[in-house]
Amino acid sequence: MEGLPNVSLETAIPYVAAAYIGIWVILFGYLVSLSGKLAGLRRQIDALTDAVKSSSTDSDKDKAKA
Amino acid sequence: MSLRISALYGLVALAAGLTMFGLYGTFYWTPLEVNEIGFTQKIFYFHVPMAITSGMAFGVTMVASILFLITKNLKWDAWAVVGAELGLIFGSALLWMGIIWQRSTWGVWWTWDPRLTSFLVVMLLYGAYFVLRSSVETPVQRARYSASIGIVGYLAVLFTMLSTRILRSVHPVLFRLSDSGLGDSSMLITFLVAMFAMFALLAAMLILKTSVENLGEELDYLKSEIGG
Repeated sequence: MEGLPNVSLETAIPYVAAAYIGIWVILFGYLVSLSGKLAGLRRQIDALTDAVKSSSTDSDKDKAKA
Repeated sequence: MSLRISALYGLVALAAGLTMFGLYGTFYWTPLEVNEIGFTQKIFYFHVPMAITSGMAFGVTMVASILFLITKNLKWDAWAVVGAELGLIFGSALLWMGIIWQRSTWGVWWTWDPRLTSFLVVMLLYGAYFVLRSSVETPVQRARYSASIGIVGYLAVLFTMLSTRILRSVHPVLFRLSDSGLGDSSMLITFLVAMFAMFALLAAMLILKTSVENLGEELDYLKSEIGG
């Protein structure tokens, strides 16, 4: 890494902070968005499964009445 | 709790723990580099592991694309998509760190250096991968076309890795066979911890993303069953 300028500590701190904050925003933001998607899909599947179960229970009751 | 969920929680906890240790090592344990680039050297402890992880994710796409072309099994196409998406995520983080570092050191936000330019091409190629996928409706045809980008794209990844060695580049060559560039043992340990933190995070994201894809397919199946 010869020939690169030595940046003073005062100048470097905001850049290093920005670099590290930025990567965690990207990585954990993505992780949180994936978790949200997963939870949403689970809710939709549970709701559909419940709907299927209740409709099959209703049709069983109708058959029993008939 | 299923094995997949347990593994996911375990990997997230491992990634968080290693990241904390990596950050501690970066800012409190490793010596301040005073001879060459100063405090901005701290960026490299996570920048390089991020580059390796991004390359690994694109490698998943390349391997899965080859396996799809051999087997014609759409499962491999799904893995290829997951790899490309994660490669872009880690690649974005890598690019962000690189841009901030070069602004602090060279005073510019961007320069058309071979390493930077070739990595930008990699990002654009994998971006095109998703544009292509959204424009082809037939699943098998879509998988075949995107597999070709998945394989060719990895050649660009390899070129990016070698670009600082084979072309005149101002990007630092961080590791040489003769000298790793990590003179102090604390520097080497911190670097390795940061690298394993990124690997654990990649593995957790792979599990999470494939779970999302699988549940999406299950939901589509349930909807079609109810609709039918």
